Amino acid sequence: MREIETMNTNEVILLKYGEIVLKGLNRNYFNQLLEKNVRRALKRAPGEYELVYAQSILFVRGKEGCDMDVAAELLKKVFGIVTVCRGIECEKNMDVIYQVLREHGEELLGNARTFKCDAKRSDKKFPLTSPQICTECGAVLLETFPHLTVDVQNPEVTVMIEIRDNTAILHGKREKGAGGIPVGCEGKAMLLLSGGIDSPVAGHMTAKRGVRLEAVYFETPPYTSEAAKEKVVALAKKLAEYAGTIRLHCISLTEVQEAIAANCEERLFTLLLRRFMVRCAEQAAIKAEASALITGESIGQVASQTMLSMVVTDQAAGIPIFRPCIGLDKEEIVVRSRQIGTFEISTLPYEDCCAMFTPRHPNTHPKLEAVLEEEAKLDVEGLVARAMETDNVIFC
Amino acid sequence: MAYLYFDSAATARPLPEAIDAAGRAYTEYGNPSSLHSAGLAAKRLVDTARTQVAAALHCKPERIVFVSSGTEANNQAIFGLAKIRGKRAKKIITTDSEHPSVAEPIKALEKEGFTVVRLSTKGGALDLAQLEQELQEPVAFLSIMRANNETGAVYDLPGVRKLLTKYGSDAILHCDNVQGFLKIPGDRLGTVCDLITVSAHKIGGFKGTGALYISEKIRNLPAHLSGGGQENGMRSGTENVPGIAAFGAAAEKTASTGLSHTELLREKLLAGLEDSGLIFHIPPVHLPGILHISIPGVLSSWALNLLSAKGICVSAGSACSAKEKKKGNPVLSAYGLPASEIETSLRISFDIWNTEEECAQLCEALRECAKLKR
Repeated sequence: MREIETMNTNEVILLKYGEIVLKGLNRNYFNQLLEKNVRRALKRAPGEYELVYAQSILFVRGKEGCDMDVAAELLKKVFGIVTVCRGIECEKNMDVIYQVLREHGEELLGNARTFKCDAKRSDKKFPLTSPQICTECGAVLLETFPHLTVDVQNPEVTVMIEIRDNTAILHGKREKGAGGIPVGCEGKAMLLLSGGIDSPVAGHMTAKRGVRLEAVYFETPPYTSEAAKEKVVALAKKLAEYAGTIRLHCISLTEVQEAIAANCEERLFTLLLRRFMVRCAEQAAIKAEASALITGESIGQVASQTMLSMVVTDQAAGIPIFRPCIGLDKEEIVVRSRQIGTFEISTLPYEDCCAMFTPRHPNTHPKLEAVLEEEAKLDVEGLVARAMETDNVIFC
Repeated sequence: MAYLYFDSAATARPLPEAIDAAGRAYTEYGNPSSLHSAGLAAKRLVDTARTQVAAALHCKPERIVFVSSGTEANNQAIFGLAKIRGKRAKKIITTDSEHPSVAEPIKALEKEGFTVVRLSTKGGALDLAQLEQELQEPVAFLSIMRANNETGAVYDLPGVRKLLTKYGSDAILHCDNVQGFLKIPGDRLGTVCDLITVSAHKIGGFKGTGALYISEKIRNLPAHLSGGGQENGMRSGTENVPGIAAFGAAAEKTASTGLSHTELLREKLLAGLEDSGLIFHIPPVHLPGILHISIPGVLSSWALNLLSAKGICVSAGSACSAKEKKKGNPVLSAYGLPASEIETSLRISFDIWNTEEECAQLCEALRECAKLKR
């Protein structure tokens, strides 16, 4: 038996591409974009990584100083990848492969109690055939982990042994990737980000479909606090783990709110404010070359989110407003928010909108004419222009 | 950023003496439990601090147990007393305005079957007449704070002791003295109470250090943490030597500083705000360095944000988050404030570093806050 002590093994991560593999002539564009996004995500992990693409699978090979645990967690947040699989690369020699199975079996198997082996050979000169490889490797695993049984029909884990041209790759347990399509392939949108639960979810859903995000947060100092803003920054940073760097525009609406409160009918306060938010967000969007606005609204969730209110709000915008959460119940939004890790931040106890400007009985069936009439009492253009002067960008 | 810091009741700025003492303790790195010279040197630092803290409390050093915080001391005292006194009597007397680190443990005991009497502190004074009535029955223990952390009201603990003596009650008297420690001229609490909680970071020491005084009368108070038997078996865990050394130095320094400066600043601010429309909540006996106010029509959070933007740090007497607002503020309700004054209240607390100039700036900023009125 050859000397195995000096065996050279390498941890690798295999990323399986999602629906972009179905793309036609654009395929290369999507591949390149996804690879770029993977590289960008790996910048947050320590050390260097090498990427090799083959047959709809991107191999990530750790180099000097790498941390594959951190890398795998980051890669689970890259849109466009459906499966993230940890594996081990070694010399393509059966003795070495057996040794890897013995030493790293637990990592490949996870907590599984049933398994099967599967083998692939691109090197047809390899002395063993695929079925032979499976039989031999299965025997080694059974001997090393007596609690295992083989189940070829419905195994909990399939241990894959791939004999490639230069090396062998072994992998087992797979984890779900983020799905969706690569961020950046669908242009850019401006997300209206509050400190609440819904808007980060709306941002995540949009980014998942390939849209790059910028975000805008409306503050009302001194009625809203610095802590409330920090919470929104934290939310944007969390979203950025999925969507890439987000430019967060912080815009003060204090003057707008005071003007509305001083001049307009109380029942329309919130609606009028929303129309101002949309106007400011649109201006920020145009500057950022974003082509749509995203909000976290869901029909009927609160008094200001009736369908009619949204219709009247939309009239103030010159670009489309998308609302990915439109048909989701609060519970469903909360589930998503927990999954993406924004829930804990969203539920920190800071106010996101000032109590003084919330009408006791908001109008849930607003008429556009009435709203326009109220708005006519205000210097809309001037207020928006002055609000935009407060635009302060934070890179998240 | 340089702050205009008026929140010493939340945490006080560390005194240079405390920082020096901690610095020495960091270089004297031995474990006080070790028997070699490095260990003994560290032990000496802890013992010095014990003497300093005991002197400030007017009690014997060997009855001081260093712990991690006022909260820990309060928990140890209250749960411990319930255990050793619970068989004799099931009644606990406390007040309606205790700090949560007292109120919550007592609430937990109430669920376990203790009867809890919460003495009224309306207007900032302890209802001793009510206490007198309650002492007709056997009482397990009392837990009454010396000074209130929000209003600065000082409660009459010597008066409580007099009543206990008058009725021949054997009830144990615990006092949460976190706010009152070294802030009440001539206070000799160690001669009045059986158990006393103090905390380092309110007097210019560091966060992470507190102490519990346990009088000789109490022999079998259970330890809250068991293990290596440090602090005479009363508090296991390697001693926080730098924190403890700083605590001792801060206690010694503060005891010799006097309170006239903070009192003067408080008076200045009061005078400066005389015609401002602000409402002052002034208890009959109060700490020299705390002023509790309401700005009519201006939610605490608004004022806090406006002041914070100017670098001025004060504390919201009321909860600023909507979530907590629903729960209300038990301390201020107990004081007798209406909701409109609770949600607009602020606590200003002075320390020896505050200047008259700063005080004038605060005064001006508070007047500006009043303009936010809706």
